[in-house]
Amino acid sequence: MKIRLFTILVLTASLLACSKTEHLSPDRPGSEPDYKEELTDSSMRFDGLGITLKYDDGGILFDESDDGCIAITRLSDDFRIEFNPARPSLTVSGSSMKLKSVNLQEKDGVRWYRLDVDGSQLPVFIVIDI
Amino acid sequence: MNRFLLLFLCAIFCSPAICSAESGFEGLDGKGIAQKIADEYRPLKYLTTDKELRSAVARYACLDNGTYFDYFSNSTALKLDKLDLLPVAAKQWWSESMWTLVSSDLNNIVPANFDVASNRQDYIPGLVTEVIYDNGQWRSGIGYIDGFDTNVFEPADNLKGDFARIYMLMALLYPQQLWLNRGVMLYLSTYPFLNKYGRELLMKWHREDPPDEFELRRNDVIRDVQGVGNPLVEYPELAEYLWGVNVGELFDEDSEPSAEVPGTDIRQPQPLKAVYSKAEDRCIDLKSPYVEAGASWSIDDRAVSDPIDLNGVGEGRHELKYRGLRSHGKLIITVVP
Repeated sequence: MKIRLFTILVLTASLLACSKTEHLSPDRPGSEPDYKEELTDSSMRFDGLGITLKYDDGGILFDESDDGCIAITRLSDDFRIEFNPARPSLTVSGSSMKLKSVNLQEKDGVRWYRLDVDGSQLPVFIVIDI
Repeated sequence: MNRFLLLFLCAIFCSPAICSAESGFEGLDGKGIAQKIADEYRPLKYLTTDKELRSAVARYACLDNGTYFDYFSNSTALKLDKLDLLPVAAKQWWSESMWTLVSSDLNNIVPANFDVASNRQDYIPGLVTEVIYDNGQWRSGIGYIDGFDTNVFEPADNLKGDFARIYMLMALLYPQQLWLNRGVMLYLSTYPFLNKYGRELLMKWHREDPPDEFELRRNDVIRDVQGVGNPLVEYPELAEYLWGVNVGELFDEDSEPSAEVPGTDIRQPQPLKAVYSKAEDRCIDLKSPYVEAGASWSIDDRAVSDPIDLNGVGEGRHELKYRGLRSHGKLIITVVP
């Protein structure tokens, strides 16, 4: 009886330990999420915060001013995103988003900005090739 | 002696009477005009008490026969006490802190009978298609906007321009992020501050009902009391550079007013859009509130000038690119039969 109870306890503890490890695994230091897919796609777009604006869809105006500010406007309804990489700021239709970090990768004239936005689990990608 | 002569000449040529003829908007594009209005046309003095507001309103609303004008119903009241002081742009559109400014700005306040507030509520302006309230002058009910049925109100025809210029000014002076959360709205939180619906509706009303003597008198009182008036009443052509036919151009005070008057056969330029129909659109107008004035354009890497004749553009997708002094960008459009 004692041996059976001990076995059950060990098995239960093992199961609990396994499930906890799986749950924590994505947050462990050094285990950065894989964004290879986003970084191999060089099409101009804004993707994040539940919003996708693709240049190729048409009707999306991509504008870059000489001071580096990027503005993406959907002409059908004036939905507009403004991003200033120099003094990092992101505005979505006039609403300011708090940025935790901004990373830039550049290749063949295409720039990938990866923005970590406060309150959003997934990063925002802004890909620019103007 | 010469020095005194010079001072005398300076005094004459720099006197307010002469300088007042200049708008100060010369050479600015729509964005620059919007910025200047935001910077320089907020009241220097806000009217914070009902007594102050009533005293100021009485100065313009009192007609020659001693009665007071009801801005909604085109009628009059024997005493100003018989009229409500109603905000044109409604309270629900602003945060509490911003509302303290908006509600104290005489530009946004008009005298109206006491039935108006309950029938107008916080409705946006629009064309009423299903009437719920109608007093023969203004009405409220349901309107159809961008695929949605929504509550709207419609001012009397001879006051539509007055209302349009008030709504335009409020959008420029007091932008708010909370407009994002409203369903159907006419305002944007950032430049150009009016969305497509707002631009089309308010520009239509602005053109059809230009400032008249009464509106100019109202504006004179506002300028006298608050230090600044409504620039869209003083220089109505500014609105065309902000949202109309002159978007993408620099304001030229000396230019003749546009000959493109609604109701005539002359075509009005349309801002850039995603899809052009050969059957319905004659041209692609290279104008947008989001593109700086004076930019040079290309379509499929071929330089073009404004406007592009659609007859010379094949059906399918095309890439428009532009480069201005301060910015550059691009856009894909589709041309259909």
